[in-house]
Amino acid sequence: MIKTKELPKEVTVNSCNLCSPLGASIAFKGIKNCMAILHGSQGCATYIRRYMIAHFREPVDIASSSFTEDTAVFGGGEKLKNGIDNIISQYNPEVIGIATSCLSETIGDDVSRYIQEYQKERTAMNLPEIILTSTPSYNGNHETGFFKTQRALVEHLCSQQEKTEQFTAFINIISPEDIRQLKEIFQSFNYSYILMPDFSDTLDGGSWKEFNKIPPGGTSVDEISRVSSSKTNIEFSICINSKISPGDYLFERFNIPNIQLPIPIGIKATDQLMTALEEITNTTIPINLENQRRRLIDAYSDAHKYIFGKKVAIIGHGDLVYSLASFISEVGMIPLICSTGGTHEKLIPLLTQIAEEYHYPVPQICLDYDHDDIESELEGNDIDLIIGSSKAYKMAKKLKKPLIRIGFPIHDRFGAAAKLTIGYQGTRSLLNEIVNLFIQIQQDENPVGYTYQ
Amino acid sequence: MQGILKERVKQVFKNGTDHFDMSCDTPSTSGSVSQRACVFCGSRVVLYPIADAVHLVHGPIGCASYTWDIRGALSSGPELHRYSFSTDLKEKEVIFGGEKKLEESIVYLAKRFKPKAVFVYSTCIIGIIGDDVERVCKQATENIGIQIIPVHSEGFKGTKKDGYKAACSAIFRLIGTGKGTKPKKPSINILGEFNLAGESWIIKNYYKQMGVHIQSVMTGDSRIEAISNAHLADLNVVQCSGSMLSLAKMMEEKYNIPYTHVSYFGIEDTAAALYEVAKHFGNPEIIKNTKELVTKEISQLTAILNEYKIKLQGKKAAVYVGGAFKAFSLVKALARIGMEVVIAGSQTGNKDDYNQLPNMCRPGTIIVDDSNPLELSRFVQERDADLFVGGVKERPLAMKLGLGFCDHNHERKIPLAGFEGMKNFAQEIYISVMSPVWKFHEFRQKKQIGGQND
Ligand code: SF4
Ligand code: SF4
Repeated sequence: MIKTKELPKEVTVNSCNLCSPLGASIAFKGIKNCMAILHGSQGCATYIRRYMIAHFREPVDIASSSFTEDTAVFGGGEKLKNGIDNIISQYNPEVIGIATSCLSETIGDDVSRYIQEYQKERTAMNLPEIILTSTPSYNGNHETGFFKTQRALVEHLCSQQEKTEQFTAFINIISPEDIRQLKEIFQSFNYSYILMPDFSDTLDGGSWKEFNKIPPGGTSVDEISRVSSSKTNIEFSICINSKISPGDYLFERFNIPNIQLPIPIGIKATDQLMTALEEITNTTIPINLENQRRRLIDAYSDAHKYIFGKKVAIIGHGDLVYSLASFISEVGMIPLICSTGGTHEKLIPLLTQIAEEYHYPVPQICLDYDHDDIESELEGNDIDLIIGSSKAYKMAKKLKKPLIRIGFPIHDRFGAAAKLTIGYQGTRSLLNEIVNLFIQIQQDENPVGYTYQ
Repeated sequence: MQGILKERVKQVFKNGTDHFDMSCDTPSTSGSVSQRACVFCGSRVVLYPIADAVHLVHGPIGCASYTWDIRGALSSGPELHRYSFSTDLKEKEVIFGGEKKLEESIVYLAKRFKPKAVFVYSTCIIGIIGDDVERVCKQATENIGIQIIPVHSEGFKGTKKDGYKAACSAIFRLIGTGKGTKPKKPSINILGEFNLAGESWIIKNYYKQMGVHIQSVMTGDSRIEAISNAHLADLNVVQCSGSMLSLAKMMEEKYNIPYTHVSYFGIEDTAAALYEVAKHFGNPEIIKNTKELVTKEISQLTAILNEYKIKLQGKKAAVYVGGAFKAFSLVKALARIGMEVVIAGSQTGNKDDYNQLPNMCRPGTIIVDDSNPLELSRFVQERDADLFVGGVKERPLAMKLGLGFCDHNHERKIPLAGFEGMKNFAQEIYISVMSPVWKFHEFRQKKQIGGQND
């Protein structure tokens, strides 16, 4: 059953969406030696910082142009220029990423012009690259901001080059540990690649020997400028709108084929990645990955009895919902409710296809839902498990359902940055978590308390 | 001082060395990563704990999402404050206006949740898209029959403090609308106490033991009804200088209720607060009760604190909190357990408050207004702090630099107010400073070696 919101409610209660500049900030965090500035008032930047800090438990510096009443009337040009000056003098970054906010967009600030003026006015200085991404939140959410920013980066930094034996991977909003896993997979294929935006170190770094103004790590400007010489692009999104897709842009401009893949959770989605990599690199899957795959299949067999037929509600951003639905179907669980705050019509045929393949009724596909709508859906349904972010905890507690936390934000559990869910390895650790949860429930509910399961 | 943005040189001082003339109350410098939030944030802090009201954020989604259930303000009954309600404006409304969506949202929420009042927070773009929130609220109040109160909290119209003021004005609209009768016992309103981790309950309990009636707490675990009858109290006891002083002043003017200014952090300040209230009423019974209470609590605590003191003696702390008044209490409380404060700062302290800091701190202490991560990390390195007391935004910085950290902000889950809170505070500091994990930290190792050399 397909559900788009027809509920008689104008107000949003406990939203599933975060705002677009947050997505932009995560993306900019994946660029080496980059400082982001939010063009708008102070609050947005501070809220986004604390939201990211609570999830990643890492320092997150995001500047703001700090609008005042005058700025809102006369425009933010001076504030922005002054802000850039201050960032340069304090942080000396190689890249400054500017994300607009609802306020600057609403007053119609011409930020590209400000940047041009700034660059003219400061010719004497050695200026960093300045990247602008337009991220009004009344038009898109954190996913939108994340991909728009990647696109802005390649639009700005790429110019035609000779093709070399390399590919580019544009990632989705995954965890730093997931990024490390992806890099390992790529390295196993022994082929050059550029992964962006790589926030695996910047948002999950080690202890510091000395103070770092900007945490080390990230995809460098040089790497991004070489993206246009890649033979192929992989874009880990199948829900993305072509207008904000960095891969589609590179195809249109440089004729680089763009392979859109799901976030690799589960065998099928990870296989799709392997097939793509085999084609790109003209090799076969390396033995270590082949072995990981076998171990995962073995784990599926070992696990099947604990989880068969369990009914699941999935809450997340569009791409995550698809990959999770695909994975849990593989192990015999049923995604009863698939819901997202986004409006990805593309999800409908995709999820229908999975349901047909695994012979269960098409799930309730809830688009543009908030947590409150989802909660009312769940009330009438007998589900065994919720998969969602920390924000689903409230309803999980109320409905007395277990919750597996994936996605963003994870604010009520430890180790969000270290959470691994992708590739054969990641799928296995996610499977372990799910199976153990059901064993735990069984143990808790059973007076015998079996010590082996 | 070296390495400070030129716009900020009048907001950073070294005690005893620099001529002290704090230039605070200014907007944040653009491009400086201020730890402050916005006007809206200030209003949210103050009004949020009112648990039987709907808090509707009028604007695009982010402002509401980021403030969903992020504070530990507890309620003993309804929990409407823990929802995130937003008009979630989209492009269509940005172009054609959001009044209709706002109206419909209010009607829906009033019907479904049956709140005692609705606060409507304006966020940045509301004035700009031309919404007349005041009109919509007035209309809705008439139609629905509960108070629909606009909060003028557009983020850019000032600092967090202006948000406090906007919230106070919103509360002030409610006060005096109740039909209660004047309590017989001497009575107080507790202002600026938000029941984080149940702190209001601790404080209320003290006053009860003293024989003082609590007319209302604003706003910890409070209800619209109690607030609407707050004008019947004899005295306003205001905690935390910034947030609710303006309400106390308005109430003094309109209802002739005097106010006093207190803090519940640390033994000395908690005792002083209770005595102050007792003295105000001059009732021998209350004074006697207060003495008994304070003596009992302090004698129980002293031994415990002395033990911590032995262990923590000489450790150095950096304090960076929301308001300067809280910073004073912390300087004293930390001294009580043997620690020295080497950095004292706040996001939104005012001049009068800052002027008291130099006398309380030792020479060399860095005193700072509206600081940023770069400055703060430079200061803690320079002054070789062992502990940072601050909010969630400062936590990762402390962790990276291998410093203990104590959360003294609105997200805290352990009560730190009152006598009981002092015990928790000491324990929290102890855990943070004495944990063995820091010894693996390269940053600290380097410093220790460096320290031995000089
Ligand atoms: S105004 Fe827009 S950018 Fe700022 S927090 Fe709200 S939704 Fe996000
Ligand atoms: S949009 Fe305005 S009100 Fe909302 S968080 Fe940003 S600064 Fe604050």
